[in-house]
Amino acid sequence: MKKNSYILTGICGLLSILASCSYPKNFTTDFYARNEPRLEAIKDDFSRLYAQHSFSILFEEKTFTNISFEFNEDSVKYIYHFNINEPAFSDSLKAHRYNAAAVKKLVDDMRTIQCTWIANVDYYEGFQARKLVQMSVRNKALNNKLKGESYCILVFFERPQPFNNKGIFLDRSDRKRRRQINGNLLKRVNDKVGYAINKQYR
Amino acid sequence: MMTVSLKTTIRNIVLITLLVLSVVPGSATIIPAGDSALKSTPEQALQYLNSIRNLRQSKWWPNVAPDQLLNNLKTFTIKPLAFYEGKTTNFCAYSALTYIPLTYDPLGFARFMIELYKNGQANFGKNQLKPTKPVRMEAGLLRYKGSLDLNPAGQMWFLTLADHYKGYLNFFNRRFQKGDENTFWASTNFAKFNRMLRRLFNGTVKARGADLFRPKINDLPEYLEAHMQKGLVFLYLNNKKLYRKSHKQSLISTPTHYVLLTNIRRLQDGNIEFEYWDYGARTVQQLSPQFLKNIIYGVSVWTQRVSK
Repeated sequence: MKKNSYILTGICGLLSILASCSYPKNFTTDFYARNEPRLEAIKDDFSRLYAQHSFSILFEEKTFTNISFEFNEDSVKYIYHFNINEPAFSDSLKAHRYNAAAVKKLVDDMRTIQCTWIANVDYYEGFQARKLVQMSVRNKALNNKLKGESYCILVFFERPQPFNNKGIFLDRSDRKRRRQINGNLLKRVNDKVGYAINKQYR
Repeated sequence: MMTVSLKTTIRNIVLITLLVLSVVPGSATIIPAGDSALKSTPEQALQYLNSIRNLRQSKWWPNVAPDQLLNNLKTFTIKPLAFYEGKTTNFCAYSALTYIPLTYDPLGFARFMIELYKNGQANFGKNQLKPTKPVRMEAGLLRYKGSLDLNPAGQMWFLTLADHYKGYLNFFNRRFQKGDENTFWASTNFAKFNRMLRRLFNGTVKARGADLFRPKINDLPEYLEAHMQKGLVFLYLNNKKLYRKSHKQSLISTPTHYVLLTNIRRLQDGNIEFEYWDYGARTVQQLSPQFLKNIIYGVSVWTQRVSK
């Protein structure tokens, strides 16, 4: 009897450790549903500004004060590091002919929702080049004492994507293959939005 | 007792690794890499590629179409800096050193690729490269690697080099299996990188640094700037710090990425403007000298040997 109770306690302990290692199963769906207007607005603002002059933004630290801003010129990428509260950031944006006010608003919106990284990513359907917006989000629910921090990577396609019965996005040009973006297999949030949970935000 | 012996074993492994990895600098005459060092021109390479008519589908490379191969080779010749190692692959070392043939001898590179395509093997530098069947079957099929998807010629070149040259990082994974372009099968340690430079290209290599320890160079920016005047400077650096991918501060710092240094200069505020070539583009970052010193583990200077 005593032996059985030890085994039971052991199993319960093991289960609780395993449970603490995983993030909430519906995290992304719930997170997206709660924040859909904000996420879509960030995506749309980024796409609009990117079309004018390409760039990407990365928050380097958990404090969300220092960013790494990638200015994409014709043949060279300039990656500069800024404190967003210092004038050097606005000055550089203006010097590189970006809409400084709009970019700063985008940075503030990203900060509010703890969006760590936003970029335009190229991918291929068959041999056709396409673009999508990828953003990574931090959230307390994805922190784990044992496994460390994970990030929710959201991918916004321009058009609906095929998916299998497990909700995993498939390659439109070869539906036997599972679609990968930057090495991530994507699960479906909706027809045009996929997600992955990863230890790295890009 | 067990812990002590384990510690000793680890210490021995580290020491042996250091001995194996320590790089003996080359001693040949250094000749600046200028236009006079060019062995052939892009025009000659294009002329050669345009002269090829009716290139048949190779039985050795069944997934590489001949017209696509020719198109890729022409693109390499016209835009050498667009040469791209692909997303999530471990091809950065092979991509970095490809700058040499594309710049100094584009005709030689084009001829080699055509011979490799036709015969399944070809000579390059001091080596005969004869890729194994799994590698030949895979070239042209790599997907989800960005523009490398459209570049079967690049896939052939990368897979051939990764198949031929082996270092200690490839010890446990020597035979190619699907997906191995992302694994240790394709990895390149510093000694292997320098070995490839020496065997593939007619030049001398002066290398400083190792896989686990940074080179002891007093004024690194000045050293790099001075050596850029003498030849091509390749850097082996910590990619996780150069391109942040997580907020976590890693306890173990190791180099994982190769780039070609294209420019470096000290700014008035004391920072360093660091320009390098990787992922098919030139990138400029402004970094502090301390940060630069922290991320660089290996410096290889390649200078072309000009025959008298």
